[in-house]
Order: sequence, then structure tokens, then C-alpha cells
Amino acid sequence: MTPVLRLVGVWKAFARGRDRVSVLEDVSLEVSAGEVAAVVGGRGQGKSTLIRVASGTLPVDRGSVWLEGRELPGLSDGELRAVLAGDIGIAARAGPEARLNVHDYVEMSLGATRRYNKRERSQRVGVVLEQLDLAGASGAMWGELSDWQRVLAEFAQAIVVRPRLLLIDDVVDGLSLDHKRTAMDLIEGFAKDVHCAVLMAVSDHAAALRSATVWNLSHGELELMHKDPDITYLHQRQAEGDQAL
Amino acid sequence: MAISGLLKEKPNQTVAEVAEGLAERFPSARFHRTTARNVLPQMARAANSRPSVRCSYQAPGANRNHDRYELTRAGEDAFNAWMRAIPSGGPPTLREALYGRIELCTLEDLPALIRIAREEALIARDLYSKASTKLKQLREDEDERSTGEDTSNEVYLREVREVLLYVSPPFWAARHSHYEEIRRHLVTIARKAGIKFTVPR
Repeated sequence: MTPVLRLVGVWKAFARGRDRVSVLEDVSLEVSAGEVAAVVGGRGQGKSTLIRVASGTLPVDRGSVWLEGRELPGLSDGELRAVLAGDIGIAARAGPEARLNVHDYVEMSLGATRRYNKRERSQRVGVVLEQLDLAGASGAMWGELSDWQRVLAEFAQAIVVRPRLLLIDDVVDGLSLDHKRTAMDLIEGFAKDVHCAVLMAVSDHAAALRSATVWNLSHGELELMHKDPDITYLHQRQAEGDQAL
Repeated sequence: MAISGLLKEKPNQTVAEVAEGLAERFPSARFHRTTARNVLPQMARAANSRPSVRCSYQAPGANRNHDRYELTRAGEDAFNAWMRAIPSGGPPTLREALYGRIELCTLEDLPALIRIAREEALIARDLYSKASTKLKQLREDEDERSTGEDTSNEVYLREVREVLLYVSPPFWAARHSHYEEIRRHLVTIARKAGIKFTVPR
């Protein structure tokens, strides 16, 4: 089965004064459709860099990044914009740059794809907000939302396009245990229902407990900690199911 | 205390049953299969005249595996005291062997220490993976038996035992990171000192 996301031998360093500080060193990983994978690392270990590299928005120094057989660094700006609009959903903690209410923030993701008219967009946004129990806060501005509602709004704008790859950057960290559990239920649900690959960056292993695959990222080195023995079998079953449909 | 605990849970167990309990309930302690057979008679012959167990049935013949044992009052008191004892402020009883080696090493030992630190990290990684798999199994079992709110004491007791399953993966992950951090420091020192070494992956 072809992985949705594939990083091969990725190196990335940033300039700091006269030096270059290495953040990712020979990083390789794969995430398949329906799989929830977690990269765990402390602050400043390169998790967000890895997420940006996986999204194609940060060029690599060496190595390659593939999304379903397309090499992201090889795409033109226009092609990459289309991939980001329709195939990749990104949930971070940043929130909207402009002053938008929840509904408009989520709708903005759909607007970028140009696949739907205004009425269809509004309808889809309504459905997703309803699913995430956020319909009541649809008209609320970002500053009026609780931490948990912000997480839900981030999930909503990331999955409303039904992406092939969902990238989650440090969203579940700092949540209460109950909210962490609910967030993980939702993430597992996205992977299953949307049949997308999920790569999430988290700061502690407690937040990665529900992931089928767990990597540790430390000092730029990625080490596979755990791969669910059933994951290959599950993928095969899902692929068979898809073919049957 | 493991033997006392098993006998408190279920009195009058045979030596073979206790041995099975040790292996099943405390796999990481790796009790030898003869531990119960050797230790139970010793516990019953305690020198201080307050033995913690007594032999409640001596089976005929030479095979002592069918002898049955039960906890004495003194044994139960000792077990309860151990169960509820507040930890002292002293150092943990289990010392990390690598710490002692680092304390006593010469520069010639550095390649071996780097290797040991990495091996410890790999062991922790393996245990992390096993603990994660166990936790997943637990969740699947929970999904199967979730047929409503059950508030019996048995359920709460099971939840208490399951706590270790939830905290084990993060514990082993932290241990993995800890040994990797030690290895990185040792590697940096070895490089500065011009010492050749290899690191297992």
C-alpha cells in the first residue's frame, strides 16, 4: 500500500549567527491512510519544523518529501497552493490571522479549494461544526473561544476539506486529561471516517498513547519507538474494503 | 511480599499455584520457577518465632509442589504494613548500574559506557513498544465490555490495577530519552578526547 506521506532522508538546518544549527538529520518516515502517527519531542527539538516540511511549506536542505507519489519540493507555487488547499489539512494553535468568526475561519479553508459555491461551502461548514459540537460558537470570534473550542475550531478548518493528510502541531498539549481523550477520539475518527493519514507533533508521550505509530524526535534524530503490529493488517483490510466499495 | 500478597488474596494455595501466580502477575520480576518451593518453607521456619506463613497441608510423598500454605496473622500484619508504608526520603533501593559505572570509569571505559547507554535505551524502547501494545489490548477489551455504568468494587479494583498500564509507556519513553541523553553527552566527550567508539543502532 502506498503511503500518503513519505519523508526520505530529510535534512534541515537553520542559520544562527555564523553557525548552522541542524534541526532534522536524515529523517525518514511514512504515514498511510487511516493511520494516526505521532512524533514526540520536547520544546525546540524540531517538531514544528517537521510538520512544516511535511506540508511542503518549508524547503529541505537534502532529502525528499512525497505526498501520494507527488514530490512536494518539485511542485510549482500554484501546484503547491492547490495541494495545501485540497489535500492537506493543518491544525495548529495559531488561529486565524485576520479577525474572523469561527464559521468564516472554517469556510476560508473551503474557499481556497474553489470547488464549492458559497451555499455549498456554508452547508459543509455547518455540518462539520455540528459534528464537532461547535455549532453554538459559530458566530464567536477567536478571542471569545475557550482553549478547547479553539482546538475544535482548528480541527474543523483542517478537516472540512476532507484532506488526504492531516497535520496536527502541538494542539493537544496542555489540555486536560478528559479533553485530551476526546481530542484523540476525534483524531482517530478523522483518520477512519475521512480515511486520511494523520501526523501529529506532541510534547509528551502521554498524548501519543493512542497513536498506531510513535517516533521520538530528539536533537534532530528521529527514532521509531512503536509501530502497532496490527497496522499493516488494518491497512490491508481497509484497502480491500475500498476495493469492494 | 509478592508471595504474601498472593496468599492473602487466596489462602491455602499449593506451592505450584503460588509459583504460577508469581510468573503470571509479576513477569518483569522474573522469579525463578523454584522460588515458591524454596522460599515458602523458609518463611514458615522464620527464626524470629513469628513465621509469616504456615503449611496448612503437607502432601504425601517427596514432591513438595502440592503442599499448601496460608498466611499467618503476623504475615498478614507485615504485608499490610508494607502495602501502606509511606516511602522514606532516602535514595531508591534500586540503583542504576550505569551511574555506578560512570562514577568509577576511566576514559578507556568510555566506548563500553556509550554502548551500554545505547543498549539501555534500546531496552527501554522495546518495553515502551510492549507497554503500548498491552495498553491497546486493554482498550479493545474495555470497548468489548462497555455495556453501561458498572460501579462494583471489582470494577474499581480492576481500574486500580490498570493504572500501571496507562503510565508505563510514558515511563519507558522517559527512560529511553534519559539514556539517550547520557549517550549523547558521552559521545561528545569521547569525540573531544579522540576516543574511537561504535554505537549500536
